[in-house]
Amino acid sequence: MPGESSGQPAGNPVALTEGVAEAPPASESEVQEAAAWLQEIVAAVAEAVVGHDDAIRLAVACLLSGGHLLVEDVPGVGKTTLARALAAAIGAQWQRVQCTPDLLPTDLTGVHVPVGELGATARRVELRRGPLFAEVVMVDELNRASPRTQAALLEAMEERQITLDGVTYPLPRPFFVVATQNPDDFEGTYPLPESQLDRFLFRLHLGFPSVDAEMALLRHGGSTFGSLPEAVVIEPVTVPAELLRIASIAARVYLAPALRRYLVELAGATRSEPRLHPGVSPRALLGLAAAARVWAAVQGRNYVLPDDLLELVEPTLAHRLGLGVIVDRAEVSALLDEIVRAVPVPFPER
Amino acid sequence: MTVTWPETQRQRERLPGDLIIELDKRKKQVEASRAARGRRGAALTGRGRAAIALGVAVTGAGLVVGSVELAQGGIAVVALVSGCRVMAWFRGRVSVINLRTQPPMVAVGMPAQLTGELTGWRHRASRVSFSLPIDTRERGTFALGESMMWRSDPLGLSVVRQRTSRVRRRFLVHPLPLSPAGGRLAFGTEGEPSAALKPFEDGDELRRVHWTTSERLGHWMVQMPDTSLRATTAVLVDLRPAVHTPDSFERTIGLAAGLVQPRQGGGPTRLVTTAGLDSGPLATSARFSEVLAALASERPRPGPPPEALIERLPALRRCERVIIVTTPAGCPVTARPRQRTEYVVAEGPAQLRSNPARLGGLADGTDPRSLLQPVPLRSPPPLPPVAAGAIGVIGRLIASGVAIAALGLLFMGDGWVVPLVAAALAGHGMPFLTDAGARLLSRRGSRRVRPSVTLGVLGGVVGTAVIAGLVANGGHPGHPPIINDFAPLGRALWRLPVNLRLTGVLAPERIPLVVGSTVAVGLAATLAEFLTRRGKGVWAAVPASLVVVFGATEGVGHLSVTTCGVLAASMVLAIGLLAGGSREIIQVSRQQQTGGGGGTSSSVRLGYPRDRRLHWIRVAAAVTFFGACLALAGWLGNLAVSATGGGLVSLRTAGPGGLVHIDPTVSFAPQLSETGGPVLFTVRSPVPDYWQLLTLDVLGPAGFVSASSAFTPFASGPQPMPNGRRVVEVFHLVGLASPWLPVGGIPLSISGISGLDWAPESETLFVPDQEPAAPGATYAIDALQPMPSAAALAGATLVADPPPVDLGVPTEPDRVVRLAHQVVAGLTTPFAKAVAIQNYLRAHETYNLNPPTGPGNQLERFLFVTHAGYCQQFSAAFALMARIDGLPTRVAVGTTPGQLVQGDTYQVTPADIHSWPEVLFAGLGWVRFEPTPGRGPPGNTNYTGILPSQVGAAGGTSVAPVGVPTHSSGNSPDPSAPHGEATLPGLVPLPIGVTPTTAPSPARVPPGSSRAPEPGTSVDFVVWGAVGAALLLVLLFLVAGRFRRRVARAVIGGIRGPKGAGREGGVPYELLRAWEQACATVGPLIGERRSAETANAYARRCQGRVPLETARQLDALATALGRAFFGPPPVSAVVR
Repeated sequence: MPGESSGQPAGNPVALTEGVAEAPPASESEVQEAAAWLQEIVAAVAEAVVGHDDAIRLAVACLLSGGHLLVEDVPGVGKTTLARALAAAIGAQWQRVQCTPDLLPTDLTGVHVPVGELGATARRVELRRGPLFAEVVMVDELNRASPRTQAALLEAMEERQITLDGVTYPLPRPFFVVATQNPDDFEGTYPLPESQLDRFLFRLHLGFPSVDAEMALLRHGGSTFGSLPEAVVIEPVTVPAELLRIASIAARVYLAPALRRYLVELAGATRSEPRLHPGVSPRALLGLAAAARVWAAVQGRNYVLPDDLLELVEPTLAHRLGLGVIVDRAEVSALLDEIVRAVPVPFPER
Repeated sequence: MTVTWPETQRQRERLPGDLIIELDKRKKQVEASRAARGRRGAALTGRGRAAIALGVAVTGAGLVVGSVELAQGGIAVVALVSGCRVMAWFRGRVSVINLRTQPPMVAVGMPAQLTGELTGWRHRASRVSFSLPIDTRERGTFALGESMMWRSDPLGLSVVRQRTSRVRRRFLVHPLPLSPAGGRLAFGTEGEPSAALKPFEDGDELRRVHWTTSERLGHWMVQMPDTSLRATTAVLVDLRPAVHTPDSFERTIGLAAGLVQPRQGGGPTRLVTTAGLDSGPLATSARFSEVLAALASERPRPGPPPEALIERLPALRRCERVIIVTTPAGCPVTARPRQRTEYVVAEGPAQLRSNPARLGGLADGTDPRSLLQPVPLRSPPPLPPVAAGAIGVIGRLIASGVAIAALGLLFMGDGWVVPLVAAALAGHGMPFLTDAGARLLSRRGSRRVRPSVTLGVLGGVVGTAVIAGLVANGGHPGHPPIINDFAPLGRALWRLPVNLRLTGVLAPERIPLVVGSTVAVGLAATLAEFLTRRGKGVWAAVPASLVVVFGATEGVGHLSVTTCGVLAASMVLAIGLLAGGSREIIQVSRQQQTGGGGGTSSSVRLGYPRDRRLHWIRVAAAVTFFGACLALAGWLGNLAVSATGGGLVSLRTAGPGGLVHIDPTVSFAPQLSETGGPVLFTVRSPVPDYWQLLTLDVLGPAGFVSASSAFTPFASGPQPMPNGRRVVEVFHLVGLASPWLPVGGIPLSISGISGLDWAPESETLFVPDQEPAAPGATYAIDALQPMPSAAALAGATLVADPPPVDLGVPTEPDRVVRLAHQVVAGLTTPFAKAVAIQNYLRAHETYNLNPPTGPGNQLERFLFVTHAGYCQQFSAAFALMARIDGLPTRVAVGTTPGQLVQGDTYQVTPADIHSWPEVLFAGLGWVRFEPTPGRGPPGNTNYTGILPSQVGAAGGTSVAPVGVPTHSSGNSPDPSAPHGEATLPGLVPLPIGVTPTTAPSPARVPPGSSRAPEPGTSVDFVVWGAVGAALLLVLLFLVAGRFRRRVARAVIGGIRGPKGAGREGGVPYELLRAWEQACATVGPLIGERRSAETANAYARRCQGRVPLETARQLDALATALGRAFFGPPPVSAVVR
């Protein structure tokens, strides 16, 4: 029912990056302020997720860019903790979905339930909200869900809305999906289709923490095994509305024309590489640009450097390129690296 | 690390990271000198040289023919070309940036372009991109750059070569990959799985199944983790020169490229040449491009046979297949059985030649240069302030034009030019002074003080009023206000009110003139100044330069119809050419880095997009420039022609029926300034006299001419003459060939020569039949020299019946008539009137053998503008004014008595030629007057003298009359006077009438103005010319300096951007230099920055490998560089 969504802010799927071209570049002070906030968020999350500072920063960047995150790693390295902690740090609602092959789309979206007396001529229909109506949604082992369920997630991720029985419900803002999958266990899975892979802004590998980090982890959370996510109490650093404001600042970080051209050249290079047959999609380029803006803002800069782009190339592009004959992750990364190293970085000339 | 410059005046600037760079404050100069070095190739084009030759020829022709217009035109052409050459130095430096090749590499024969952007003072608002086709007919690795630019002026007269960029770009023209005929050797066949995957076999892990490929192929495929980079096929290229022809070599290279080309589904290959190149396994496109680059520069080189190489190289032996690319000559008789070796034979004509469609028409014999067509340029974004700027410019031009036109109209002559120039200068200068004063008076440190427009207006008005009053003061002392003698200026200032009243400047009808001109010039000047303070100095220079140019042309030169035409044509031409854009050729050198072969180059002409604001600047500069050229031409042309001399009174050619012109502008001035000339004739006479040749009765439009009167044979006999004395004059003609014979007084009888004619009306002795008297003739005249007494003169009346010749006055300007009436106002007797006119001229005009010429009535100019002339102007002006006042007057031409050589013999040279007016009185005949105040060059005979009886009380306010101060009409003639005068040869008073008996007194010394080293001669001209030229030069340099400053700013701006505009992607010049120097420091240690490496990454790479401090500072430099290059533009630029 439309009335259901009246209390929600009108959802705009691209609101986070809207109006970048017209708006003046963010000033240095604005970005400094945003960076301070972001550092606090990162620090808060890092309390719970020990030893993955880079991944946290990327996750925060992904959140602010309005993208979604795909975490691909073996179990037990803190994927769920990361999502949970992130949601807590920004004071957002958090939902977790464990995907199984028999998971139905309505299990994600929710269902219309008739209410009122049985046998009445006109019965109201009420939405029983699914887990997707949260601001941060953790979708565990996404590749175990059936393709039908994955498709339901598809619409929610890209359109930021849910359509049930012809009624469209906007999702809250921010809306951040953290999906995980285990890369080494393919048995009984439904590999993610290309379209869905392309909808994830970043793909991360948490990896095992370093020795120091692991020791710190043991010291920190060793006594609370079994209830690890709940045990770590994270005070919210900010609220979602404030996060949107920070995101709007980050979206106005200046991206120099030379870098725009560089991005295009980079995309062209991947497209001309026969082994990465389709190459990078324009959506991926947009995502990379948006992420680079946030990445610069995280570091307190109001302009993007080529270094930002280079750092984000791997998490942004690698999962979108392994579509041809090469599926090995390491090989795709090596190829990507080789391509990146062949495209000259814009540099001032005399 | 401290990066320093060798120049002085350094400035310390802190960059992020505590990096200290000593900046050179004179970087603009450094840049300018760099630009100057780049401009070493400035030269005239063939067209320019031809134009100069033409100009010289035309000038010479003009001088020979005596045509001012022709000489002016010629000099204008020369000045124009030279000016173009000079102005070429002020063309802004243009830099080429962002050179890129598109695509980055290309197959031989395929089209490719080099794109770049031009920045510079003309393009600072928006860069202009250009693209050049690259010659790809030859494979190889080429270095594109340095780029040079040939820039020519709009007329194409001179060309400036400058280096626009030292950047070199590497460009690969790789061989065209060819397929073997029939394609049967296509290894890695279609559908065959790649080397990274293999079909599923028992024992393979299920988790290694590659589902995507399995689905596509229909059977299971598993990944092979570690087999991906092992080359299974080797391509061995035979490069030995012995087996190749040029065609087969090209085809071999192409085949090799085609065979190693990575393809979908193909496995890694390996390229080996007989010359030693081994590519290693080729798995990626990136490696393939390296192989292409290597192949591109391959040339036939000796090496072992392929078969021997296979034996030698283990890598080749491990390969499953070895494909040898060679020619039939390279195939061995027997193949090696133990290796799976195949031969690809490059035969027949190279495909390069046989596939014209693929090569874009190059193969069919068309000239590849025909492909070098300029690519349409991207238009720059429109400039918002253009409309405002154009309105301002038009407003200024209109204001200046109105001021000039109004002044011209109001002054009704050409006397307006000088006040206009002066007022404009004053108006332009005053605001600066007042501004400086206001700053001094204002509170220190206050920046709120703005140049006071009111004070500026006041300055302009006051300056204009003062100078207009000075110049329009009726002519005394005849100098324009900018003078080389301050005394007359002082006197003029003192007498300013008197002069103003005397000349009617303050008359009611003149008041609007003065007020209007003053306000107009003041407004124009103030407007210009106001705009100057708005940073539009170039525009402000336009009205000022227009004024100066017009002033120079009008005041000094001879503005003729030709000049006007040339001026107009030049303007139209310049504007038309400028509107169409100048011609600039950019050339990027293209040199092959490896292998042989010389470099080639391609060039293209760029038509710049029209930028209206810059366009107007150029038009203004061109207008100023051409105006200056033409002014110079006018001045020089006039100077040159007048130096060669116009024409003497044509004594030789004039006949009795012809008219002898006394042109007040050009006549016998050259003869007058000639010292030591040939002796015309000698006279032996007891009394010196003016030796008259002819008289001029008729006042025509060009001056006084002789009337064609009846000549009768001379008949001797005494004529009634109330007062006179008879003398015998013996003339001996030496160098004079004239139809007229000199005579002093009225001849009574002539001996020694016969058959002469006599014109009683004009009292001229004439040789009949138009035959000049032969030199050497000697004749004696018994003449009567009239000597009217002072009383007779004072009481003389005009004749009742005037002679039959026309003594009338043509229509004269009002102010001449007014002046003539003013001079004799209050006088009743004819003699008094004549004396008044004579004294007025002697007092108010200056003797000058080179009077400035100009358009209009020359006598009017003489009386009101130039106030400078010699005997012709004086006598003609006297005759004119006297006729206006009703006195029958004529002009006589003859000589002064000449030099007393011995006894009573006088020698007459051309320098003694003279003219004087004569007035006809009843009973006294023609009485001579002498309005000419002095004599020209030192050493010439000073003939100036006035009859004492003709010295009236009315004249001579400032100049003492010559002659005896006392009236001595009662004295009898003293025959010994000439002998007495022999001691003072040069100071002979006229012996007409009463001969002075007193000894020569100091009063006989001619007036001081004529005794002083003549200011009126060419000295005046030179001074004026120098002043004008200096003004023009200063103006030009001011304008050019502004351009230079803009250029310097733009050169820096090419990197940083001027005042934030176009800063996008800009890096401070000094920062870039610091980075380069830092890189040069660390480069030997860790290598140069790779093209795909950012500055930060490079700095990180340096960490741990260079000293800590250096690494830290390199890091800071990189950060600063990134901020400058990638940072957002300034807020102002964004807002705009």
